[in-house]
Amino acid sequence: MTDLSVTGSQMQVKAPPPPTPISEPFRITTNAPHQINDETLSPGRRRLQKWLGRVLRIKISDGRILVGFFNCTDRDANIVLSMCAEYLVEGEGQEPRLLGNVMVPGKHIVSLNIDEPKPASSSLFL
Amino acid sequence: MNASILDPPDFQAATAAAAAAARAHTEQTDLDLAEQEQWSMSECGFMDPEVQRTIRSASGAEDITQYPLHGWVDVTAEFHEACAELLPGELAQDMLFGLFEAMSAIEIMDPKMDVGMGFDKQDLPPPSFEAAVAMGVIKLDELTTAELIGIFDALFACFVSWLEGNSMDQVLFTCLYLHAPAQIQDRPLRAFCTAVRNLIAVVKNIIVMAGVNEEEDFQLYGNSALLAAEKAQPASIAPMLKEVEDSLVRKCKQLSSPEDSMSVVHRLRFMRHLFQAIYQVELMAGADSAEEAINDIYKNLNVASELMPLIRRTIDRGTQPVDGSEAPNPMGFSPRIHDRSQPPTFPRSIKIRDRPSSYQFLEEMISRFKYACKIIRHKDYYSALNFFIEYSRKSGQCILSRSVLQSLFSSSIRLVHGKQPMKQFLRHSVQIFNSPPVLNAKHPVASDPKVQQHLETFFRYCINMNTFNQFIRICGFNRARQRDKLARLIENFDTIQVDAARLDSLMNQLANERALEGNELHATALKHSTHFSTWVLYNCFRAMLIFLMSGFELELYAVHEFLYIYWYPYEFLVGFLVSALTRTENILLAQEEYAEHQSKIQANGSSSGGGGNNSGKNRNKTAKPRKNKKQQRPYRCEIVYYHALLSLCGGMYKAMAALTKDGRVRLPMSKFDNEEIRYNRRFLPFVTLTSPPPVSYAEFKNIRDHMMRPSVEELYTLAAKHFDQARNVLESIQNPEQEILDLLQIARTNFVVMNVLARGHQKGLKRQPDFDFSKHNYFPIIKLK
Amino acid sequence: MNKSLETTNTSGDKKKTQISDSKPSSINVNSFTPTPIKENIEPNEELDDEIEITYTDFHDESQLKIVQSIIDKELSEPYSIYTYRYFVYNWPELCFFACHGERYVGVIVCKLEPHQTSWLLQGYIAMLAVEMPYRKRKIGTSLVQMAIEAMIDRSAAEIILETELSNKPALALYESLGFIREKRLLRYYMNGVDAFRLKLWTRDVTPQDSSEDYV
Repeated sequence: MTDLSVTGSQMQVKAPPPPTPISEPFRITTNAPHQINDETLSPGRRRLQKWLGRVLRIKISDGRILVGFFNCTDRDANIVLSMCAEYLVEGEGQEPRLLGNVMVPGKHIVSLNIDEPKPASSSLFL
Repeated sequence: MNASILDPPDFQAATAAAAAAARAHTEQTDLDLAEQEQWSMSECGFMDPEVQRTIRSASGAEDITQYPLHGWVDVTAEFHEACAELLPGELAQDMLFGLFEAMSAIEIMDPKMDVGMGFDKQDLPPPSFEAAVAMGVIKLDELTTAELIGIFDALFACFVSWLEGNSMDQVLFTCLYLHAPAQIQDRPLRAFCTAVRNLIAVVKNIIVMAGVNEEEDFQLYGNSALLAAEKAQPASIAPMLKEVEDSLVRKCKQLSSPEDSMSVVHRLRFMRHLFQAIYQVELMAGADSAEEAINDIYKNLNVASELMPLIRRTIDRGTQPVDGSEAPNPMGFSPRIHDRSQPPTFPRSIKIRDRPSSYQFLEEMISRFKYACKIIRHKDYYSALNFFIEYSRKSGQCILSRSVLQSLFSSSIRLVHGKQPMKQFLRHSVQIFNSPPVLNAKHPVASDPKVQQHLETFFRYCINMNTFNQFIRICGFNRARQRDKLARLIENFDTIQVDAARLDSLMNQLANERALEGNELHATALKHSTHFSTWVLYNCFRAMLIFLMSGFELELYAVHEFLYIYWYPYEFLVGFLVSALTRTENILLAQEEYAEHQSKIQANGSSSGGGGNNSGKNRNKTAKPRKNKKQQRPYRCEIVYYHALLSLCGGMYKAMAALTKDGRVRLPMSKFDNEEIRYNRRFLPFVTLTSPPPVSYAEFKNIRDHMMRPSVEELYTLAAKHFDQARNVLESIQNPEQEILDLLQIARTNFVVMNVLARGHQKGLKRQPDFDFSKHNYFPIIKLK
Repeated sequence: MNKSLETTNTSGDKKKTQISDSKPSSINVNSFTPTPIKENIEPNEELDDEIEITYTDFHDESQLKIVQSIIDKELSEPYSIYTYRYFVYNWPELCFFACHGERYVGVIVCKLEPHQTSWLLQGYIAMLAVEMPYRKRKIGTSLVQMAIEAMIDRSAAEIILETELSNKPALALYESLGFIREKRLLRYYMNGVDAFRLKLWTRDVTPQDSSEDYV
């Protein structure tokens, strides 16, 4: 019951085409090594680059706190976090609910905190 | 595939798009992969979410709760400024991030996806059992009878809702009493809650062992931590309940109006017998005698069903759920208690059945179980398979009923009816089916070592291929999955079929050898037997027919496809079945005549040589079959039934031809449609078979084009004739079952409709008729609009 | 924004794809009429029967919001903006819009990928929506047709999709194009409703040698 069974010869003829390359206007800035040292990027992009992959703490409009790895954002700050933990209120000692991947719409963001060394000590890393 | 194994079932429902895309991505391979792994898949299935979570976090993921490592730095303004530099549509993304995984992201503050949204902070922390006790909202001792009845009825409602596919946490474990029954002082309540917990554990085991559940049927997993908090001791449940019942009954004797207390007793007793019956099903695998075990189960079910009216009559004696509240009972339930421990996108709208309909469900379930007990009477494959097919049609909705039948019949793929080896069962089945002399232990040829060796090889092969056992198991799955699995099974029949044909020809070969040796008796017994291949073929045909016709039941066929679907059974499949059965009957008859002939010779011989005792016995033995000669047509009923199916298929085939020619069938746009491909796809599982040989599209087209040559009116008349034939056959059946009556109504109505159309009714109106399958899954009543 | 009546295919050719909805191009079905999906909703404005619907493909980021707004309104399943991005950014050439003048009234979103085991290209229709007042005009059929053609141009061997059991208009639409219901999926959607997997084979990929096994 192979649905798309083909003979060997057909398979050779119909090799999978490469994935469609993403063209403009779908520009992507990543923290990949070849981009990370790209000096031509705007300062904001470079800052986002630095934050990608770090842990972000987002307070949203209904008071909840979301903590997760910063995976992606767009112009409107629609942020994708992975392995996200949800806390109902601010403060210590709560059991979080684990949500996995979440998308936080920019319009619901109240504040953003990144887990990074204080600016004073950041020179250690440069 | 990996994803679907690792993710708990609830994640399945995560965001639809992700699921849909992932399915589009992976599910096409389901037929290939899942089917190969179908048995091991279900084994993988019973990992609890806890375990899965561990596996996932062990696979390199980190614990998010250990952050921050450095400290939070507020970047709100900078972040928004940075984002504003991005162009519309531009993304800043982690190098390991892909849009595909972003699809599974829950959108926060979207009411459809975000369960945490609008969480009432007043509820913090969610009341646990301990909290509820501390707050004094639940009583642990001296509950009134009304309170007990209310809680018991609510728990039965939760149990039923769980069996219907809701998660254990969201229904059963919203009952705080179930969290810690040991802390309950009230004895009836403690006993009942302990019994519920054990019932859950036992039911889980039965369903896991039967292995006929799919993620869409039933959620096996729930809050394992809560269930594990107190150890299951199923053996102690019945005595414990009994003791509480007895002391309550003693109390009742001192009461002036003991009705309320007796209602509590009835519920405890009902629970005891229901529990005991289900627990015994779980123990079937270790039962010494399947008969005895099933007998006990049946007795318990009987008592339980007798208690049912008493319970249903007293539902109003219990506390009732408050209007507008989600809780199934005013005391003891906290509907939202597990929301925070649920997977991110669990279904929020849980509907717990109301009490009367829950008891209705239980009553029907108990009668399904009782019916399932009858499997013990079906000692051969043919009748067991028929029973399973019938049971699936009647009880297919309920996962526990399906699982119970599997457990009652077979505890492993090598054992049936308790401890009977599958091989022995299959041997016996062939013997019952068409009685090959080589399987008759008393027949002299049975002691031929060569013959035995071939038989041994064949049956071992049958077991190893697992085809026959699997056919029965497939009947236990839900109807949609049955079709997928049958497609795969049909292929397997072919290899068995080849083996059976080889066995048959070996027997013929041996017959020749024995004839040369002068062993006339052995030679005759071995000659011309197609016993084994007929047996295998017959089962293969059945699987093919069920596969094909299940497409109607599942509403898979478009009206314009009906023509070729009905054509195949009309032209071939049903005919094959009839001829396999007729051949079998003929073999049985011939054998019997031969046996009679043989014993006459023997009787004559022995009476002349003295030894009157023996000859008398022999005469008695041979006299019987002669009297019962008419009964030697064991497949009479089935053959008649297939004759009716044949005419109905013929009627539908020609009706569709007439309607198509008449312009009353909506045909797909020719631009993309390709009938040949559709035809090939619909019959794809048959392509691999050597017997029956597949029928090409070209052949179908020839036959159809030829058939469609007459005028529309003539075609309608031809269809009418088939329906009339079907009517005649069906009317000849004595003491017809409901199905026969339904088919009869279909045949009669369609006969009239075809005649009306043949006379040119609604000639100008080229409207497609309705095809109403409400009377029968395979055949519609054709209704003109 | 380019509101012309042109679609651009990958090779850069421009072709005019004006499909007048009142004259379906190659439909030989005599009695097929799709009905509105949500029948109890009244069309909110009177529309001229002979309105001209034009079709265009995805060429501008601002259209993403349009995709989202049309689909969110019409489909039961919730999608985040990144779900739309997944489809539209990866396969912009398989996203088409129907417009009435300046107004976007319908959209189809698809993808095309090699099948996991066979490597043949499999198309997938992820979303299709037509705004309520514009139903019953074969706009959906035209959008699906354009998508199928685009996928066939890119060598799709088959095209699949899922739809709700109860969505009779959608089932009728796809069936009229030759899709068959390949499989029933029990409790497929979040709301517990069954679905069908629909499939259209654009070319017969059954191995040649196996057809010789036929009688």
